[in-house]
Amino acid sequence: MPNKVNAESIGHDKRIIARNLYKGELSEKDFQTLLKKLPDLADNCEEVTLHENEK
Amino acid sequence: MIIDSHAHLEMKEFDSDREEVIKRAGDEGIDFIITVGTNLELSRKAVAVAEQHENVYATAGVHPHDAAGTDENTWGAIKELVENNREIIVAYGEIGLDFFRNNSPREKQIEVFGRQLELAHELNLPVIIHDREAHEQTLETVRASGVRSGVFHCFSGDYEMAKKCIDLGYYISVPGVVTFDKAATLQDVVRRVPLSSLLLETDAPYLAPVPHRGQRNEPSFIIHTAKKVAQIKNISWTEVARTSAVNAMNLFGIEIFLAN
Repeated sequence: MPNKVNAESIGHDKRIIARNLYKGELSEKDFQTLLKKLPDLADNCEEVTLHENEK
Repeated sequence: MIIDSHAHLEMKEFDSDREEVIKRAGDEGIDFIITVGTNLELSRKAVAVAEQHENVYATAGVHPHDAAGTDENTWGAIKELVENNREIIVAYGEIGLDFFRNNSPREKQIEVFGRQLELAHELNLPVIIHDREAHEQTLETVRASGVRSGVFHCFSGDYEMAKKCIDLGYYISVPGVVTFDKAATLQDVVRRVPLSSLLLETDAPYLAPVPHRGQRNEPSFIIHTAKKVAQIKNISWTEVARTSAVNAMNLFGIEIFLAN
């Protein structure tokens, strides 16, 4: 199951952000501020090695 | 932030201007629409509509009106449709009982409702319940099924009924009917049920809210329902919109796509 959505995280959805940017309801400056508030999920990354014959 | 948790964009009433209707909803700030299948053919069409729009999700199921036309092949086909479209299909429905119109025999409706609850459980999907003039039988069937995730769409019961639904783990969905002057029972339900248990829906193309009553309904009209709920609960309509949207996303398991 996906993580629970809450009143704050719902505004981080990139589809909603894109629509709000397009409509002018979200400024570029506010968007950059919002990006900085996003959680750092680097710890969730998994390193993978691609071999030439798998590309 | 607002979600129309129940519309029927796949229906023929939208064939001539579906794209404009969906665009209009986006322009009015409706972030997501759940388009709800009512038989196998329309469930497939709902999936096709959702596939083409990032802000539309679909459901699959057979409405009690169409119960008479089902057999085992129907359930196999719906199961296949769900399994092939897990990213798009977010609930099982619309299913239930309609003892007002009785378009299908009651016994057949009850059998088909039970069968679909089993299937929803097997597919691990929340259910969208249609209940018209069949409150006790619907509750009894849901209770016996063990399915504890879903919504009573277009809620038509009183507060006591709403409490029973919520106790079973279900949400109450408020349609545009709440804007009608004579909808005192529904308005009472809205007043007394916490916002954390409410969803908003249009049920488009049906049941347009005031000031569009009598017209074809569409998702952009959901703003009027949100504003009426806000007036009844004496809170801001944006709070109603946002909280009901959060409820819908959690019920249907709609994931946040993080910006990057």
